[in-house]
Amino acid sequence: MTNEIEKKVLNLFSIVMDIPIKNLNKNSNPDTVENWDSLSHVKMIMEIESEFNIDLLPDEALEIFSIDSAIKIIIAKQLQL
Amino acid sequence: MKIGINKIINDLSEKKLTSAEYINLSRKFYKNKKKLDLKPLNIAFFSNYTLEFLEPYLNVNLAKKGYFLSANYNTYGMIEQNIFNSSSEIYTKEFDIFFFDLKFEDIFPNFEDYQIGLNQDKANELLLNFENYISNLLDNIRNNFKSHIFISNFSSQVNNVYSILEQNLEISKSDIIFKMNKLLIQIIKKYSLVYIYNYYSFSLNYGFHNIIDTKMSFLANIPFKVKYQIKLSESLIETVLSALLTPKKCLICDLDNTLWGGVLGEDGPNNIELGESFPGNIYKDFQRSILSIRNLGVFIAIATKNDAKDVIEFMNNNKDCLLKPKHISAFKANWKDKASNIMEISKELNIGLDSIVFFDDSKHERDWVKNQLPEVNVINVPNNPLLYKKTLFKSTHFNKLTLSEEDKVRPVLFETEKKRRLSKNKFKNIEEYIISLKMKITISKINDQNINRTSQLLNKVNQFNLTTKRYNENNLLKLKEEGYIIYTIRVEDKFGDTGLTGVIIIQPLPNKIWKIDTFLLSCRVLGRNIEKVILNFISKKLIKINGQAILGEFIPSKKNMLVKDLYKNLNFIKKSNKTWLWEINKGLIYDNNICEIVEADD
Repeated sequence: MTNEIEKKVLNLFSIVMDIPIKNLNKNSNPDTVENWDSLSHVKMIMEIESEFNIDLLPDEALEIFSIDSAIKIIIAKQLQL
Repeated sequence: MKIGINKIINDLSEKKLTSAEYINLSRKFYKNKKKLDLKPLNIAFFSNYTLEFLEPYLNVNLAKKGYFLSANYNTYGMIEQNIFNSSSEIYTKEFDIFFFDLKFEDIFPNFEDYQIGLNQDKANELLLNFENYISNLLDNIRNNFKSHIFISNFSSQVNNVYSILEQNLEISKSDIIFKMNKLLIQIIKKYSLVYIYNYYSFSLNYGFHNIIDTKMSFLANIPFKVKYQIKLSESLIETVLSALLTPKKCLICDLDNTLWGGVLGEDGPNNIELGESFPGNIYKDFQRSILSIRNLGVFIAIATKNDAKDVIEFMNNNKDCLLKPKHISAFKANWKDKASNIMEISKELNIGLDSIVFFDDSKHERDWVKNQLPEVNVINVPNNPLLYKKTLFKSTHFNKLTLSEEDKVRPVLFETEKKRRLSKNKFKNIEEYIISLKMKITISKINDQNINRTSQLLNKVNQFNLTTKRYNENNLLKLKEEGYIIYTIRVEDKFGDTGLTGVIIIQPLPNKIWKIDTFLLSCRVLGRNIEKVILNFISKKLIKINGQAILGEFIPSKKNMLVKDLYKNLNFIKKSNKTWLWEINKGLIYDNNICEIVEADD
C-alpha cells in the first residue's frame, strides 16, 4: 500500500511542480525542487486532499516539507479514517 | 506535434478529468500556445480571492469550446487600484471580457458586527452605497472599453450563531442579498453588454457546506474545494460563452424511447410509457423540458422512423403527451434515413445545419448523422432516460443571456406561417390570396422602442435587401440627425402579428430628390406585394413635403438577386447601372387595394 501511495504522490508532485518524475525521490523538498513555492505548495495540499480523500489540519498542511513527510501524513490520515 | 495537441483537445469533449489532469493539460496548452487552433480570449478577472487557482480548469474548459484563455488577474483590492485609477496599466490593454467575481463579504465586510440592530433605514443606506459602488465600477469600464462585462450576483452563508434567529430579525442577511440581486439586475439594464453571472444559483445548487473549503479560505484565501473550483469554472465559462456563441435555433428529437418509453409501432399506443407514474413520468418530465426550450424561441422538430398517421394520432389523443403536433415546426415521420430528414428540416425552416441540435437515443442513428452531417450538433444521449434532461441542458446549445420579444413568439409565428401557406393553396390567384389575408401594415418612424429590432433586421436580412447596408443603433441615430427619414414596417394579418419585419431609410439629396438608402423586408412577409405598398406610401409622403423624385439604388450582394429588378418592374427610369428614378408627379407607384395602411404617431 505504501508503494502505491508513494507512486501517486510522486506523480502528483511531478504534475504540480512541473518536473519529470525521474527527477523526484522521497527526499525531494523545497530546496531541491525549483517550482516548490508557497503557491504550488497550496496547490499540492489541495491535490493530495482530493486524490486521497482526506482533510489535513492547517498544521499538517504546513508541515509537509518533503515528499516523504507528505507520504507519512497521508498514511497516518488514512489510518484515522 | 500540431496534430498531437489539437487532437488532445478534440478528444476532451466527453472526458471527465481529475484535477491533476487539468493542471497537466493546461500547462501543455501554454507550452504549445503557438500550435493551438484556438481563438484567443482575453479576460480580465477581478476578485478578492485567489482566482488564479481556477486557471487550469478555466483554460482547459475553454479549449474544449475552441478558445485559448489569456487571463489577467486582479485580486485583493486591485479593483480600487486598477479601475478607479485612470492612469492604471489596465487602461492600456484590450480585453474581450471583464469578469467581476465579488462576494457578499467584499461588499459588506464585517457584516456580523452590525447585523443585529440593522433596520430598514440603515439597510437602505447600505444598498445605496452598493448601488453607487457598482455603477461607478461599470461607468469606469464602459467609458473606456467596449468589452462584455460580467458581474457575479451575491449569495452567502447564514451566520451560524444567528441561523435560528435570522428569520425574526427586522432585516436578515438573506433580505439584503435578495435586494442586492434585484438591484443588480436594475443597474445592469442601464448599460449595454453587461451581464450577470448567477453565483446565487450556483451556491444554491451545490450548497455552501459542500463548496466551501474553510481551511484554505483562511490559509490561502481560496474559498472553494478543488471539486467545486472545477464546477465553478465550468459554470463561469458557460455564462461567458453564452455572450460569444450564437445559440442554436432548432432541436430535432426522435420519438420512440426518447420522448416516450417503448416503440409506438411495435408496442402499440396503449403500452407506451408516458404518464404520471414511473417510468412514464420521466418521459413526461423530459417533454416538459422540450417545451421550455421552445419557449426560448427554439424550433422543435421531429425525425422519427414511424408511420406519420399513428404518431400524430397518438400525440393528439394521449393527454400525457405534452408535446402536440402544433408545437412541432417540422415533422418527419417516415422510413427515410435521419440525415436526409434533417437536411429537409433545415431547408423547410430555412436554417443552417450548424444551428441544429439532434437528440436521439439510438447510437446507430447518432453515428450516422455525425458521419453524414458533421455540422449538426449531435448530443451524446446516455442510455439512462433519467439523464436525458441533464444531458440536454448541459450541452448549453440553447443558452441565452437575453430573450428578445421576437424569441418569445418565434415558434408561434412559424406556426401561423404554416397555416398561411396551407391557405394559400385554396386561391385561384395570388392577389385573391393576399386580399384574403386582411393585412394591416403599420408604419412608424424609428424610436426608442423599435431601434433595437431595427438594427437587428439591418444586420440580418440578406434576400430582400436592396443595398445591404449594416447600421447599428448609433449609426441610425446619426443618420436621423443628418435628416434621413427612417421608417419601420410592421405587418399583421388575420393569422397573427409578424412583428417588425421591414425597414426603409430615405436620404434627402439636392433638388428635392429623395434617395432610398435602405429598403429591406424579412423573408417572412415576402410575396405579398408589401414592397409596392411601401414605395407608394413613401411617394405619397413626399408629395406633401414637395418632393420631386425618388431615386432607387440596387447594390448586388451574394444573396439579394431576388430584388435586382424591383425598380425596373415598377417602371422606375434607369439612370445608371445601379440607380433608377421615379418622378413623383407621375402619379401612383402602386394602386393599393390589398391592405389597410396605418401611420403610427411619432
